[in-house]
Amino acid sequence: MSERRPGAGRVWAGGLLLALMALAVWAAPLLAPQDPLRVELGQRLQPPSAAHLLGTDQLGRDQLSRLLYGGRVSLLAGLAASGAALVVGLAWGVGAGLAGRTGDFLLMRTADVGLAFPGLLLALVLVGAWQGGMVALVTALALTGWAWWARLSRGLLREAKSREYVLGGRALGMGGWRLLGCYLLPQMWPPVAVAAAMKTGWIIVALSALGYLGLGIQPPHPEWGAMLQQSRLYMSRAPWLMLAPGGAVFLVVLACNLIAEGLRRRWQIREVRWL
Amino acid sequence: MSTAPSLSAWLARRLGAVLLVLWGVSLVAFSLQIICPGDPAELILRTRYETPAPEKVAQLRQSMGLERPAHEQYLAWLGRVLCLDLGRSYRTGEPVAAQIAARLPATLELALASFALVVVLSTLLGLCAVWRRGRWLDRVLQPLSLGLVSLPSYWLALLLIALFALDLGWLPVAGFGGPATLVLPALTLGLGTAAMQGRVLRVKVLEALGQDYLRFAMAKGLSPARIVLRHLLPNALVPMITLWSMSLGSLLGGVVVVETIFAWPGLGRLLVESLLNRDLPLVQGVVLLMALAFVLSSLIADLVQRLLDPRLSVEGSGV
Repeated sequence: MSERRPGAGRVWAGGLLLALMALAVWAAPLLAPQDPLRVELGQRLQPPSAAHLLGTDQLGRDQLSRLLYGGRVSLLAGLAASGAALVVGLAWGVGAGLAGRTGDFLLMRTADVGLAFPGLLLALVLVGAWQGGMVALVTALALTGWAWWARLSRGLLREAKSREYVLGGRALGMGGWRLLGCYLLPQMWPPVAVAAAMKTGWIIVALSALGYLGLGIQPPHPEWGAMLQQSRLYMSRAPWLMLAPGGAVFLVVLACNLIAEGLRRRWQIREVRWL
Repeated sequence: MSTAPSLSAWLARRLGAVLLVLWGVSLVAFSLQIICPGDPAELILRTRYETPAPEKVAQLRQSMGLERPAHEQYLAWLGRVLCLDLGRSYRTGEPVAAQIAARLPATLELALASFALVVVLSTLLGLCAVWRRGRWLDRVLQPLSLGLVSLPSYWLALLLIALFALDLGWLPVAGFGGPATLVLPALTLGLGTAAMQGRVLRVKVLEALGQDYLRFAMAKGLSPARIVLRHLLPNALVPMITLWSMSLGSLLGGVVVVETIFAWPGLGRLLVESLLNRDLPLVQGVVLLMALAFVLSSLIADLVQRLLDPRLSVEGSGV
């Protein structure tokens, strides 16, 4: 880590890790040794070997192939949900920050309702009610995350609004949109980037948690959380089965947190008030 | 912004906001009924092993009030909920309130144990890191806590089970009853949050270290213990209360996963079971209770914070 750019090492390490994993799951059709759905009952619960690098599961399916294909769901759905929550929440919060008293009140009280559900409770209930499906999963997670973004971005916008150069710009007669685009939004960008990295990690954990609880992507399609849940049943006979899917989630989240931590140091965002 | 509302005025405004939020929560909980595909009446008949003949379904729908317009149904439902009548489980026919009351103690036990763990461990982690800032202990603790923060709870649970229950045989794999069964679930639930807050506390204490009042305390030649206990901790405590109350939220949310893994007979598991059974009244009951607990705990945290730190009421940072 160089002195000039604090946190750069962490950002690079996290980014590289994430890029490698994204590449691996993107190239799953090339890398996977087998069809992830191919059942071979004669090959049940095999320990790792040359033929099956990560062993086989209770139906004799190749664990490595399932891991690679499962990652597609986790990463893609996680990024989609995280992005959707960010866009909606940011627009919401910025809207509230710019709106008058009544608009602000209405928008923020709605966001408060979204914030009243602890953790992944809302996502859990929505996915449970809608019963699986990729779109339902992403929508539920986005609906769980947006309110947090709304509150954060409203706070950041109000803070930016009180800066002197913004007041200066206003005094010079700059239009509202120009003020927003040139002065306010760029000011909000660093904390938003840190939070985005952190929240993406959180959403990927939540996604796999739903899979673990049997409410995410439905079998036989592979998903990291669901794979972990299966491995729980064979823990004493095939302990290696739980290592790969859990480790994969861990690495993705670690990469996200490294990026967040690095960016936080880079821009010296000490404030944790909005966490 | 700089006006200082009195405590009672502030509390009245906060309470109003809380009521509004709870009303919104009730709307969300009720609307689950609408977004949930499938006919509840048919579901009830099926779980009673009756063939859902059309006339029977129609009769049941009539008696459940499902034929009325949605807003009338909502008002009737809200009226019952306000009288603490959460309806009856589709599956067992038992009152939801009774089932929740039966499951509540287990969840409280687990949540309180984890909460205690979070408070103690995060304080220790934060202070250790500051005390040995830049030395090896800090250098080990920093990446370690980042790793702990990144560990998904369900994987941590499996690793703990594999190590302490299957390999070493010190603790039971799962189940409920006695302190031995509490250890692994509480650790699973609390470790990540504790690590996260230890990191935050470290930053907070480091911030406080640069402040004038501390430099003055050091200049006076006070003992390190006195500085930490009398000057540093009280100032770091105020933001920590907010964080702890927020951790209550992540603990409540995490309870769902942890209880399922450890077969812990609490609310979280009840929620997952009833979701998988499509037992809507139970789902609504648990959701309402969890949101209520979360909203009230953050209200209490705000109140405590305000009582402890008079500066907040001057700056007038309201809702």
